[in-house]
Amino acid sequence: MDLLSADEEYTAYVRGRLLWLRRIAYSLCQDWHRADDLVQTSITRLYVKWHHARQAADLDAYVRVILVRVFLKEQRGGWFSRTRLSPPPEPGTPEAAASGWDADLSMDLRRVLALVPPRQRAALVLRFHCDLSVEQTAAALGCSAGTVKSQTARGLATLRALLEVTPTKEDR
Amino acid sequence: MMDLKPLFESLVPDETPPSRVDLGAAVRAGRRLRRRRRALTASVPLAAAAVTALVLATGSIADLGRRDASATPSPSAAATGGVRPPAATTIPAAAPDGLPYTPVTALSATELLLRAGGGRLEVYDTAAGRSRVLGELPRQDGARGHRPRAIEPGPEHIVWWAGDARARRSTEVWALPRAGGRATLLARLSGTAAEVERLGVLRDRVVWSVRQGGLYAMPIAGGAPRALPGTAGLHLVSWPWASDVSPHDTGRDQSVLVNLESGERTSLATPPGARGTRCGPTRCVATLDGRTVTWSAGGGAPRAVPGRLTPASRIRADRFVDLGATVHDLVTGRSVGIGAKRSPGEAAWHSGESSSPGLVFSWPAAPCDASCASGGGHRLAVLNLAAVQE
Repeated sequence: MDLLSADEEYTAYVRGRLLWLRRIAYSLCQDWHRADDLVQTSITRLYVKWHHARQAADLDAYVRVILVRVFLKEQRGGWFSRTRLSPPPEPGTPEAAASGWDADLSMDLRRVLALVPPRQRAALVLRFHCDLSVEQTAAALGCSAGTVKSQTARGLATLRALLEVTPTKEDR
Repeated sequence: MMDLKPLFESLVPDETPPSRVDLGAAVRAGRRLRRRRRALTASVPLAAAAVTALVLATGSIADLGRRDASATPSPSAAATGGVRPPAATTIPAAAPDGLPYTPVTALSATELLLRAGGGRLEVYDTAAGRSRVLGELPRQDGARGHRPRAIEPGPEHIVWWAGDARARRSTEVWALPRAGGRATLLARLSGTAAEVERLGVLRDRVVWSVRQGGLYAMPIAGGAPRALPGTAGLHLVSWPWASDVSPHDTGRDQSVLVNLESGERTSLATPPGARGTRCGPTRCVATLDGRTVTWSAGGGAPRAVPGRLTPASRIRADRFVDLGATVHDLVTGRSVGIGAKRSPGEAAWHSGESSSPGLVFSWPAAPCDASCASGGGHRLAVLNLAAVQE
């Protein structure tokens, strides 16, 4: 009886948070197929740990940590480098104009974020997309606050270089 | 001037495709995992890692060169009995005990170095179709996030460095006999020497470069790590070759190639307008006017090759370069596709875990279902560059 109610609890929680989880996963990998794979693996792990997780003070934070670590583990050591088979259109071409290449910075950000090393990318997404503090990001990544700061700074520097924009005081 | 932070608010498009996430499948898989964990907990005692710290000493860079040849196998040296094994083959995706295989690199035309799960090294013989266990990758007790960063084969040892994400600036260097046996902790590095970037393995010592540039070395048999004089600003590529640019600094052009065995220093000329120049002993690659070009390291006109250089692209065995989902042979001018197609516009593959640019690419062999996402599946397709024919 207790197991069944725990399962129901789990199912209700995951159903309610699925959209939120998919959006975080997408922000990490910029691909909906991969995002769904990350979420699938994460909610499976959540099920395994549900008896412990349901007692967490902040269940959302607990699940977010699982998701980020699933993402980092998949990226570890170059396991599964990924690439677009179709190259992006050359800047200045009609195709580029149609797709918004170099015109839409949001699109550009998604494109270049995929080139940022995984831990730096995770730090950037947690800090700026999920709006977590340095300390919360450190807890999610399992590292120190100093490491989060340095990873964030390096990630922003990489983004600036790839987007060819000049740093602002606020970026630092 | 532009603030990047607001862009993150629009990182996820408003329109989302239908979800493929299957909650029922997660529950079923979770139940299976719970049962497996309970069974493992009941039957497998925890093994305590016993390590021996050695105090090491080292010699000069000139000594290193006289004693050793390159530890990296070359395709031309990989012939076996006059009959070439196929470069493209498949191997099991998991060890007999179920631990998933992660290819590290090729040891020869028929031998692949594999990591099984998180803690075991094996050699898989593609001709015989069987594997043998070399030894365990010890994990320090209580060290969270402690894992091998890269694993490099040498003539007599396989060496790796490992670090704990929480123990900043502390790096361990381990060695395992290539014939198999027990891993030995060679050193626990700290300070600048711990910022290991790439590592090379010689017959009797280990050489590594650090992120800021500069090389260190220590004997495998015992002795302290020591900075090598005259190597400031150099980054190891693959023993005995070093460069003046970090492997991760793709924005800078390589201008020097140094042979650490002979001490020969070659200045490299980059064609006007070329960016991201990388050179091996005989060939260079770069991006010029949006195209990938290659030219002889000794000079000559650049010629275009199909595909685009990415931050992950490397010159491998002074002959191949990976350009996205293709590997291009700079000698024959031929290209071969790699990777499992995950969607119409995307492929995925694994490029190894060696410190030197690896000689093996792998991906889930077809038929490839949802297990592709986690590197699962029954077999891995493998491209072994050490088995590529002349």
